[in-house]
Order: sequence, then structure tokens, then C-alpha cells
Amino acid sequence: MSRPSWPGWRVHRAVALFVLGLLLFLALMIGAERAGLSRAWIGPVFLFLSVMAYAVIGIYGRTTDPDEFYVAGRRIPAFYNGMATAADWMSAASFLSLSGALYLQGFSGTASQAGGLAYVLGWTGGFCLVALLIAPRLRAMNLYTVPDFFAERFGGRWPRLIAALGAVVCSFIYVVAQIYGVGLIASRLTGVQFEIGILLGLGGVLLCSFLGGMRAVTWTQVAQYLVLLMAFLIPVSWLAYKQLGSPVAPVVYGTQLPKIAALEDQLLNSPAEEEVRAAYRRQAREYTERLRDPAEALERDRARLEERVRMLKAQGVDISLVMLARRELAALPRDEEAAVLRWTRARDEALERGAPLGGLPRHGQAYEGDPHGTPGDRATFENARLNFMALMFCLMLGTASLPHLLTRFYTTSSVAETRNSVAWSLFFIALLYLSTPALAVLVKYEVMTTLVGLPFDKLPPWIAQWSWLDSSLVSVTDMNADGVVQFGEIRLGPDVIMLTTPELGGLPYAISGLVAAGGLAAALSTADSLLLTISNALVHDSLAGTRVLAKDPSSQVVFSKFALLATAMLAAAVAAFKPAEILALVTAAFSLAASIFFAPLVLGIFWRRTSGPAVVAGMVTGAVVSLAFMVAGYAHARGWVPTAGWLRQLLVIQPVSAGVFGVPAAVVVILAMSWWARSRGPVTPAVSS
Amino acid sequence: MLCTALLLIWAAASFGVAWFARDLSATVAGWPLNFWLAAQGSVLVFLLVVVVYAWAMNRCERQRADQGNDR
Repeated sequence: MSRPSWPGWRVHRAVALFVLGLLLFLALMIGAERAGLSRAWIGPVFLFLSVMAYAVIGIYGRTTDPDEFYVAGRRIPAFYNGMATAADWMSAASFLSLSGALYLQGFSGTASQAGGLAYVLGWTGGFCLVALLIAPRLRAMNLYTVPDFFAERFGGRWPRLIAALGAVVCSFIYVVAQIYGVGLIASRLTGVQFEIGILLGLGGVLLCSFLGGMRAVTWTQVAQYLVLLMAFLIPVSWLAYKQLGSPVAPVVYGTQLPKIAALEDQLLNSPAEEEVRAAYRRQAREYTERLRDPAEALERDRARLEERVRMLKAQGVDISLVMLARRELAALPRDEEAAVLRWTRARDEALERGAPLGGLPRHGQAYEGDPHGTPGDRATFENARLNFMALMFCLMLGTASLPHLLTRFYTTSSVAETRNSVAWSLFFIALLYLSTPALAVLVKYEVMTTLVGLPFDKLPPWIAQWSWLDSSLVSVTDMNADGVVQFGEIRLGPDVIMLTTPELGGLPYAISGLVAAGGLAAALSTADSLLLTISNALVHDSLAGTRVLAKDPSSQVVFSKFALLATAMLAAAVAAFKPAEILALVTAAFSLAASIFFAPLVLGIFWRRTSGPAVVAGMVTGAVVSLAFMVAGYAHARGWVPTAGWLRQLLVIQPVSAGVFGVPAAVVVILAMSWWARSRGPVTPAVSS
Repeated sequence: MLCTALLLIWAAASFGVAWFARDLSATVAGWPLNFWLAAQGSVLVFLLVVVVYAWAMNRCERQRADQGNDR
């Protein structure tokens, strides 16, 4: 089914109809909720219908033509390509975790964990590099994939193969994080198990990218962008309107910052907060005490509980009390090893929450520590600033190197359109990103003014519902037993803050459904194109030129489809283990991509003398250096290896920012080897654009 | 030329702002300056950089194509 052309009024009409339908549906759901539709239905309805909508678009765009499958026939208008790119690029990490991270980390995070606005800067600033250095040049070469660039520019088998391998590795780490996000949302909203949630979401992804390749993915991503934009802007605008009387959150939220700083001062000096902190510190000491001899402590706990069960039975009290004590007994760690693990974690958490403001840095303060204070304060400040810059560096260069993003710019009709398309992408991303810090600030203000100081028996019901699902995500405990909520007693996990925003602001539950659908859209859209990138790298780039594909070009598409299926299954299997937080996985993928691709791409494009073998060595070095640093960093953090003095100096940088070392290493290797090769052989011509 | 200038602006808006964030803690129109710059200002500058580049390059390309036709 080929249509004469996509652009034009038909597309505009379809998109307008989609937005209208979405708004109508939302109104309908709010109405149904008023009329008494149960909450247990609203979440699943949103999830199911949105996945169905994407699947329908996917089926409508099905194709087996290679040009359509790989680059959507190169006729996507810049405006819609920008929208698709924005959805593609804003993942579960941007939509769900970022506002949570900004809430928890404030301006710049803590000295040990940089973050905060570094994510906003890194994930937008990278587009300058994409626009100025990379995307238009790649588009000019009429390629299908990013590894194609290496084949075209350097010839030979190895540059392309290594690039394909690199593309597979970074995209795979990234896609695991997305599928994890899908599982989180689906299981929270439908109440099914995490693993089944993953499978549900996976079905939606596969229907789309499996059938239609890039063409179907592009148009689903346009739809997904519209969903996630609305899902984000409605709660933010509502909070801004509620607090400040204007719905344009990014313009007005600034005045809340000084107020938050004043509230923070108040909290820091409040005696009730100090009681809470003292309670947590006491708890931490208790765990430290237990960890000194875990076997004995565990035995003591067990004996105490067994004694209580016996006593209760002897007294002949209500059976439910006995059951309660029994359950407590069953919840004890199984053996010494499990006890050590659990208590160490509990001690660390108690220590963190025993710190001022529950371990959160002051929201508006740039970097911890003090540049004019004691040597210790100065070192903290320098570390915090260094890590902030390192993180930003990795995110920016990673943006300019991630293959799934770069291939999006192959789908426009000309080089000029590619340039426009990058500009549109950044515009659509900025629409959301300008509101993300606003959301974090508004939520913090809302928590500090409406939740803090509330009596425990008046807690809003959503807190109980969330903490019942998983107490590590949301919990409020009366630590100092005064019956009033203190700031230090509230715990909100980074991945759920966005999902709780509508309820925090007092919006109908249907809006929560929409937010969840938005998170799902963000995760699915990114997963779609990542899977496509992986399968293309596996089939198009690894098998290119071999006999398997020589006979018939369309067999390549069939192979790609099955590689995609296999990759999706594997990624789902890995995600089911919940390997790490979404944001950490994503950041690691960015670091790795920057280390592997940035130097070869930029040098290959701009420096005529870059040679094939040098690029291969550069990519391998970049990957090895950054992976080694990540491993060393994690090992160091867990105290597995004693570290020498010079290594300790390097390990000031957090492991996920390994790209700071990987990128320069790759540059040095490529420069040195190309120079060396130049003195020995002829020069390959550079790319002209 | 244009490319270098735009890259310099990009670097100033990202790494420059991040480096001097602590020193920019004045309050302008109710906003802490450093927070506004990092959260909004820099993003707007990035957008401007990309738009200016696309506009200038596309115009330049069109002019070159026109000259080519004239000859």
C-alpha cells in the first residue's frame, strides 16, 4: 500500500482529528468518573486504548519495502519528523524519572550523585551538536543506518561491524530501561504483576515496529508525542494555576523558588523535624549495632517474636493479633546473608533520611559545599561542580551519538529539511523540558505547604494506595509519634512523583490515567525505534555483503523483523530482573554511546585523513575505557577493590559519567593512528556535503 | 565561521553557565538568575542556535543554487 505522498492537508487533518479525539475521550472519562466509574477500570482503559491506537497506526503503515522499512521512504515533513523525534528521544527517563529527579536533587544533586538540571541541559544542548556537526552531513550521504556511514566513509568490513556492535550494545542497555518503565506503569495501573505488565507493553511495541518499520514507527511516534505532551502539560498547568493563578507554568514558577528556600530554612530549624532526624539516626545506629553480629541479632529477633506469639496464644487474645505477630515472624530475613543485605540497605536509608531535609539538597542551591568555606567544604563544592559538568558532557555527546536518534534524521526529504527538522525536534522537546523544572518546583511547594503539618488521620487516600503497592516508592511514617506529618517523614521515589502529581494537585483520577498513558507513550516510542536500530544493525550491517542477503533485498526486511522480535524478547527478559533505576541505565547508555561514536563520527566527517583502522581502534578504545571505568567505579563504591591513589583521584567522577574518559581516549587513538597511517599510505577522500 | 560562532555560544550557555552557576546567584525579577539560566535560559539559547543555523545554512544553500542556475 503506497500512497502518493504523506505530507499535505490530509496529514494535518488526521493529526487534528487525533488531538480532538483524545480531548473528547478525556472529557468522557472524567464524566464517567463523576458518574461513578471505578478507579480499577480507568487505568486499564487508558492503557489498553492507547496501545490499541498505536497498533492500529502500525498496521496501517505496514510495509516490506526496504526504503519504507528503514527510512520511511525519505518523505516525512520536517515538522512531523521533529515531533516524532521528540517522542523518540524523550523516553521513560525524561517523562517519569526526570521530574522526580529534579524534585529530589534540586539544582545539581548531591556531591556523591550529580544530577538535577544537568539532565535538562545535557538532553537539550546535545541537539546543537546534532544540528551543527552531524545530522545534515549524514543525511547528505543517503544512508540507511549509522553503521552505514562507516562502510561508506572508510570501506572494508571492520569499521561497519564494530559500529554495528556498538549500536547494538548501547541501544540494548537503553531499551532495557524503557521496557522496565513500561512494566512499572502497566503493573501499577492495572494491578497485574510486573512481568505481565512488561509483556503487555511489549505487544504494543512489536505490533508497530514489527509490521511497519520506520514508516509505522514515525507516525505512531507523532501520536505518542501528542499524548505525552498533553499528559505532561495538564497537571503542570493545573498546579501552576492553583498556586500562582496562571497556567503558564514555565513563565511563573520562579517566584516559588525563594518561597521554597524560606520554607527550607524553616524546616531546617524546626524542632519537630529535628526529632524526626534524631529518630532516623537512632534507627541507623540500631542497624549498625545489629550488623556487628548479624547471626546473633537475627536469633534474638526470632526468639523475641516466637515468645510473643506464645504469650498471645496463652492469653487467648483475638486471633488477628496472633496472625499479625506470626506474619512479622515470617517476614524476618531468611538467613544471615539476607539479613546483612537488608539491614545494610535499611541503615543507609536511615542515615540518608537522618540528614537535614531528609537527605535532599536545598532546591535552588547550585552545588553542595561552599567555595569560600573550610577545605572540606571547598572540596565538596569542586566535586559537585565537576560531576555536574561531567554528567552534562556525557549526556550532550551521547545525544549526538545515539544511533536511534541519528537515523530519525534520515527520513526527511532533503538536507535542508533535516536542518529544519532538528530545529523542530528541539522545539518540541523544549515544550516539555521547560516545564519539567517547573513541575518539580511546584510539586515540592505543594508537598511542603499542603502535606507537611497535616494530621496523620487526614492523609489523602492516594498516599495509602501507593504505599500499599510498594512502600519503597511512597511512604509516610510517623517517626516522632506526634500524629503530624513532617517533611522528613515523607518519602517519594523518583519514578513515581510524576505519576502522583495529578492526585497531589487534587485532579480527577482520569488525569492520572492520562499521565500513565503519557509515560507509556514515552517509553514505547523510544523502545520502538531502539528495537528497530538494533535489528537493523544486526541484519543490515552485520550480514551486508554476505551470501544470505545477496539474492533478494526484501529478504533483508524479513530478517530484520525476526531479529527485532528476538531482541525484544531478550530485552524483556533482562528487564524482568529490574537491574537498576531507569535514570542510571539510561545515563550509562549515553556515556557508552558517546565514547564509541562521537569521536569517529565527528573526525570522520571533518578530518580527511581519518583512516579506517584508526576508527576501529578508536571505537574499541572508547568502549573499553568507559566500560572499565564504570566497572571500576561500581566496584569501588561497594568496596570490593582497594584503589591506588591515582585511581581514587579519577573515581571522584561518578561511574555513569564514564564518557568523560572514553571520548578523549577515542580521539587520541584515532588522531595518533591516522597520523601514523598517513606517513605510510594514501589518503581516503573525506565526506563532502 | 558561523558554525564556530554558534558552537562558542553553545559552550558558553552550557559549560559556562554550569561553571559559574554559584557566582550567578543574584535575583532578577523574582527569579534566582542561576536557576533560571540553567532551567530555561540555556534551553532557549540552544533552540536559538539550532534555528539560526538551519535558517542561515538553508538560505546560503539556496543562494548558491541560484547562482549555479544563472551561470
